Amino acid sequence: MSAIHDSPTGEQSTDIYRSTFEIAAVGIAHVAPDGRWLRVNHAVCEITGYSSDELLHGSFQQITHPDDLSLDLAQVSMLLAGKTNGYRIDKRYIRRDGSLVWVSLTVTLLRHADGAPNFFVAVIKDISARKQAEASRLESEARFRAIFDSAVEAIAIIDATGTIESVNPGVERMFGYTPAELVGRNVTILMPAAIAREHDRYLERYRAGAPPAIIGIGREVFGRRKDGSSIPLDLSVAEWELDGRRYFTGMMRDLTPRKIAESALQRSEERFFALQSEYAHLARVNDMGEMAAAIAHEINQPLTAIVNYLGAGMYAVAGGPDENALKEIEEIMAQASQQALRAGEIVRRLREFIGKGTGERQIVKIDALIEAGSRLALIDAAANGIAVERVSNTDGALVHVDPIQLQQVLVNILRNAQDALVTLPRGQERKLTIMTRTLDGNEVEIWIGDTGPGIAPEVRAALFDPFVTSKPAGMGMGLSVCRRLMEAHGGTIRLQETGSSGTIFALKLPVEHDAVVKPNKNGSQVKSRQAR
Amino acid sequence: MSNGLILVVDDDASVRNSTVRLLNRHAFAAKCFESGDVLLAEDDLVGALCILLDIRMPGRDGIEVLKVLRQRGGDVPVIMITGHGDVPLAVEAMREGAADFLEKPYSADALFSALERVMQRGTLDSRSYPAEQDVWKAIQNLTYRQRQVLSGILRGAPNKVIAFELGLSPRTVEAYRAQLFTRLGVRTTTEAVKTALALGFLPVVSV
Repeated sequence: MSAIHDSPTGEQSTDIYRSTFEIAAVGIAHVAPDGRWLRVNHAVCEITGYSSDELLHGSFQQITHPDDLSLDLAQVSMLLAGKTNGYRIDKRYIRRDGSLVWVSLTVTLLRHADGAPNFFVAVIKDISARKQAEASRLESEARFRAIFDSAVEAIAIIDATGTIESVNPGVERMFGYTPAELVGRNVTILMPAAIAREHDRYLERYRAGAPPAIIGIGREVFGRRKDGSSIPLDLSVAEWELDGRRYFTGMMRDLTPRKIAESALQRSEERFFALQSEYAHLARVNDMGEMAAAIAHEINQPLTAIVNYLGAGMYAVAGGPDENALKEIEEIMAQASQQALRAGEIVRRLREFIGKGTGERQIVKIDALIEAGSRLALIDAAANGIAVERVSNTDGALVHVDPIQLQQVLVNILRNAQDALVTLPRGQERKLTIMTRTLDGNEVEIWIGDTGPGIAPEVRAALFDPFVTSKPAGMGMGLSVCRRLMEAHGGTIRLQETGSSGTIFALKLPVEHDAVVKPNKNGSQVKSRQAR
Repeated sequence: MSNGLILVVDDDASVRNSTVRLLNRHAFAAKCFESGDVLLAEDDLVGALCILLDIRMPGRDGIEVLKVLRQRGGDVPVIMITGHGDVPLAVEAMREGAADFLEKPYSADALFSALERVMQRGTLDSRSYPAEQDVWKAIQNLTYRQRQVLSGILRGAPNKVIAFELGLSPRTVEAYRAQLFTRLGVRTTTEAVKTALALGFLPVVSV
């Protein structure tokens, strides 16, 4: 801008000039070299809130914000010194009401013919709106920056081709790459190879209009660190457009701490579960310890038969292998092997029972479960003169249980019943009854009754507490374990009745509904398996 | 042709069947009973050489059957067949007049030696042991503690129980047990029990 050396001359030009001066939308003022207002237009009054009279009695210095005054004065002195022809600055006025107004100020100097300064022409434009927008933009940018830079999450902005535009410090912490290593590279650098291959194709399809698989949804993915290790992430993606270009912002949360916490919780649950099954296992071993004599006796039966058969066979051979002898040897061998299998079967059952078990729950028919449990528990019932009655009214009802643990409960109750029965004098009825039925189709109930002498009153109340027993050699653990196991299966166990005519225990389990039952390879009925 | 008739009383069919085959092969005739009650229902047992009587049976057990037989005045020798760990029952049976006892499973040799002894003498006594004099002496020479431990063994008490009753440590009881087994020239508890019973050593009932 060049300096104006003279004001317009002539009446016409003066009129034009005056009206232009007055109606201009921008503020125009003539200001003396010392700063006094010489002439102001209406717009200047509007901007500053002062009347022209008020202004003309003062100087620009009086209404300029103190922080902006020195800048203004410096420009003024340079202009007066002839070092510049004019200047333009943004500055603030203090309005009459005390509020601030931002203005853009353009100043030129009119000189007299001799070159001495005449007056300044100042063009004053209210730029408050622009300044406010600028301030809020800066503020929001600062806010965004603050979030972007301080976020724990890793944030990456990519364009539609997958090229990284910018990353925040979280990305460096999470992936080990500096921003310089990433900006300009394809975002697939942060992905395991398998996912990276997919990503390019995915972006392509999305650009072609395929529905988004992730935007606004968020999902768990794996990222790849600079060192090649993978990291579990929760990724959410936002899409936005700027100047007709499409961008994606990816927010990645490191799931590792959560994963660790989750797996710790899972471990402690597993530990609890393991302890519980370990406890149940120890109780089973104890049960079998108490049954050892009965089991040894039952195994001795087939062993005795086998030794007898083989003894007979040896004498048959020694007597000369005539036709009769050969025929008998053949029979003997068949029978001996059958007895060996019988012994093996007992051992198998025993091992299954005192094994640690898998802890797997299976869907089984309640009656099949009772059949399995009672075969072991009733191993010497007949030898002890105990008659067993079995009544089933379950119509094939299914339960979802750990078969071994349920067998354990049955074995305990059945052994207790038998122990009670053998204390009866000979000649008194020794009868054990196992009844099953369904209740409303939702529960299955098992009644185990004996004709024993009943449970002593002092033991009844604390029957299910540990270390309470009426047996001289008992530990008092059986029923407390039973209750624990039944409760773990969502069932109950209680003493139905006891007295001189006998004792009945009642067990309840929830029925498993609408199970699709298919036989597994062992022939037992299995629908589903789960950890617990 | 036949060595004689043996009565086999056992509730387990395979044990009965196999015993019969073994006896038949040794030229014994055999007759089976599935329980003591069935045996006792038999009018006439005269003519039987021996009864092999299982202790653990439904209905009346072997001991009760033995008592009834003795009450009836029958003199057919009875060999008790016991299960594992039935020493106290065996001791009781011997007191009730059983001729011998065999622990299941027993070898064919053990069965026929027992039968042979029974056929020769009717009952198991001191003469069935050739080294009787030595063993007799050995029993006489047992220390007081060793005798106490032997009593415990004959009652079927485990070492721990014997130790508790005698106020000894289980280890000490084990040591006494080993000493008296050596003195009696036996290796197993069953042998020790038989030897002691044969020589009339009966356990002290109350300690």
